[in-house]
Amino acid sequence: MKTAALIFAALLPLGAQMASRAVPSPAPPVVGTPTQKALKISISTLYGIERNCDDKLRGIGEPNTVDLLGATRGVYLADYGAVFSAEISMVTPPAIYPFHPAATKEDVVSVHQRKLQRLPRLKEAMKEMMKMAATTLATMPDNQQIVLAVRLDNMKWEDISGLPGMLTIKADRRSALTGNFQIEEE
Amino acid sequence: MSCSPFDLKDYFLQELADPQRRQVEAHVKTCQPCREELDRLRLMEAALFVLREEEIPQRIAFVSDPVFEPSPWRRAFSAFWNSGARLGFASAAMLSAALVVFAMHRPAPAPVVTVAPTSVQTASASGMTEAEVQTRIDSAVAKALAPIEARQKAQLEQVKADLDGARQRLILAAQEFDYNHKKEGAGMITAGVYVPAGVGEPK
Repeated sequence: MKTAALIFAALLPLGAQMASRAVPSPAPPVVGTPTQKALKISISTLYGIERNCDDKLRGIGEPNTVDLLGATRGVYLADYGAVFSAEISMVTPPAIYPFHPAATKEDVVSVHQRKLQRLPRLKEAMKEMMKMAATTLATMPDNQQIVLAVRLDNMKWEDISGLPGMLTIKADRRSALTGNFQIEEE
Repeated sequence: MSCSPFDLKDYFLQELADPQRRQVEAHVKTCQPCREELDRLRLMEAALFVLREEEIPQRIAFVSDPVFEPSPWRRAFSAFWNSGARLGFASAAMLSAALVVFAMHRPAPAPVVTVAPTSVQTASASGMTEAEVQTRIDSAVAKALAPIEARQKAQLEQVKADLDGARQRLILAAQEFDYNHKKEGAGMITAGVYVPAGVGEPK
């Protein structure tokens, strides 16, 4: 009698499992009108554009004279478009350390002049980046936007007269492909 | 006993006349005992001259003499000092006398000075008002403190300048650190150290 009770208790979970399998699965949701498939830009595509932009930003000056402080980062916003941002210093500033505790006047003038000289090159590079991004984002509708913002970093001791803090380009994909856009300075 | 016609002591002390002295001398030459007696007297004289000469006491008195009895004042003082009751009574009497004297000669209370509500209250001995005195004190204090304050102000300015310089250097160092930190991070991203998942993988 005792043995029979133990066998019965052991078989209870098996019976419950069989019962749960017997329950029919819920019905699939009823689909009414067909939904529009959301556009998906792969991370790999954005990553390729980001690194390409990094290379172009570094290329506005002689090798190892432009500091990339914030690597290009892009995101795709559904129904709006792609947004890219980066942060650079157009000129590698002289280092401040105990034996060179402050920048000299010559340093200030030199850095300022070199930045002013490189600003047009940066704008040209940004235009190329817009075209490249518009070309690469081939699956994105033409009416969606491509935004590229580059922040320009400055040291506190620098002379920033005539230098913007940020450059922004905003255009739809069609305009970006044709190069029809304006650069905004802040 | 002497058999000399005159006393040998008188002869020895030279109190005899010359004829008597000669008789004594003639006798002593023939009398052995008198001659020995005269030698003892001479010996005694020599012994006396050997002794130290001392002054003769001016007064010789005995304890029983009236001179050693204390005076009546001294006896009264001793009797008073050795009696506790008398001493206590005397102290109480002196204290009472002091209280009586103090009560009779109590000083008059100090007059209450009422301050008039005017700015110029009293005049000093030199004729200056308190306001003038205060003004002179203030001017003297200000004159004495002026160089100290100037020195302290200069030191404070120097400390502020030093602190400001240190603050500026610290800001520059912090910005330099932040700049290099961001540059290093961006360099690692562009170098492919942080490749996001899904990049380069087959679809």
